[in-house]
Amino acid sequence: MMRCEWVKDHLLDYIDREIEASQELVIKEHLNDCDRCSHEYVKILDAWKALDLWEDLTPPARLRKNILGSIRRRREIKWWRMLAPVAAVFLIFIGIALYYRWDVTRNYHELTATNKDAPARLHTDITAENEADIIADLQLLREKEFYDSLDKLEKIDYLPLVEDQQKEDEGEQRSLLELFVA
Amino acid sequence: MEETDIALMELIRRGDDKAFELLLSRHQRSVYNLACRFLNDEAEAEDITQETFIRIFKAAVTYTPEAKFTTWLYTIVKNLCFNALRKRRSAQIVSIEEETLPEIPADIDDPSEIIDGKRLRSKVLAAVHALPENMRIAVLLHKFHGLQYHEIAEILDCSVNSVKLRVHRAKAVLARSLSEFGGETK
Repeated sequence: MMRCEWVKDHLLDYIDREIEASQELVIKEHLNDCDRCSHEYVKILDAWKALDLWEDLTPPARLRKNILGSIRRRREIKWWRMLAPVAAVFLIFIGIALYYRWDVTRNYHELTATNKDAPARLHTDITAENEADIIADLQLLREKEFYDSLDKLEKIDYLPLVEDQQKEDEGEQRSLLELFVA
Repeated sequence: MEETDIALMELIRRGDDKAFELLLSRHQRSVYNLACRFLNDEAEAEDITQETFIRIFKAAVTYTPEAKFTTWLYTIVKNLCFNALRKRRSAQIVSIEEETLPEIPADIDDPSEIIDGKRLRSKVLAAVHALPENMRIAVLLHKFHGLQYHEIAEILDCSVNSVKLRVHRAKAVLARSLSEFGGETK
């Protein structure tokens, strides 16, 4: 009875051939003598062998096609993923350039609109007819700027005008001369 | 000379599609059958096989051969099968009795043997599917894919003794289930 329990505990190791040679011999002898343990041993072997009834299946042909198709699609997506950042950077540069151009144009229009004394429209297309007008406009602008700057200078107290300074000098010279004469 | 699996992975990493096709040809059948036997559902087995090879392809870029290729391969299949089983359980879609059973081999001529063969096969499949998932996968890897206990231990991330115990218990359970069948036919 004790031996049957011991054999039962080691039967699976015996089936797997993972047992010491001495123990293997003991189990072999016991199985020859004990119907109950022998029956248990055959049951386990038959159960394991019955799994052979479970045949391998052949995968359907579409499976291979589907797998390879998936891989091909992934490769294409990979290329797009590599190009996307480059395209994004390119678009950002284009956007900045367009914005800069728009900003410059806007500033130009603002400047020309706020300068009321300037000619209403600056000639951009220089032709034989309007060339003289353009030159005349420029001359007017230069003269106007000159007189405007003179006005500003007269208003500055600490900076004597050249004419006053000359008058002062002449006045000093006259007073000195009068002294000598006197 | 045939390229090893690891050599093929290196070629795949460099963009060699032919290497991937060769790897697929080599392992597609065993992956499909493992998933099919574990889940007893051919449609799901197809999905899992496809997903397995897509993951292999994606991982080729960073793959470093730390273990045998088949160990890594079957680990992926095992994880996907376990996930599928959990989803199935949470959805409570299919019970074991409703699952379709595969056909019997055609080499049995005697009608009574055919009936017995069918019944035995049904019993075998039912007995395997009744096993807990960790025991089931150990049995399938050991019996149908020829893996040793230490390889199965790596896949299941457990000790060798643990694997041995699972397989031994599975054999005892199967023997008990099929002994009832043996009693019925006598």
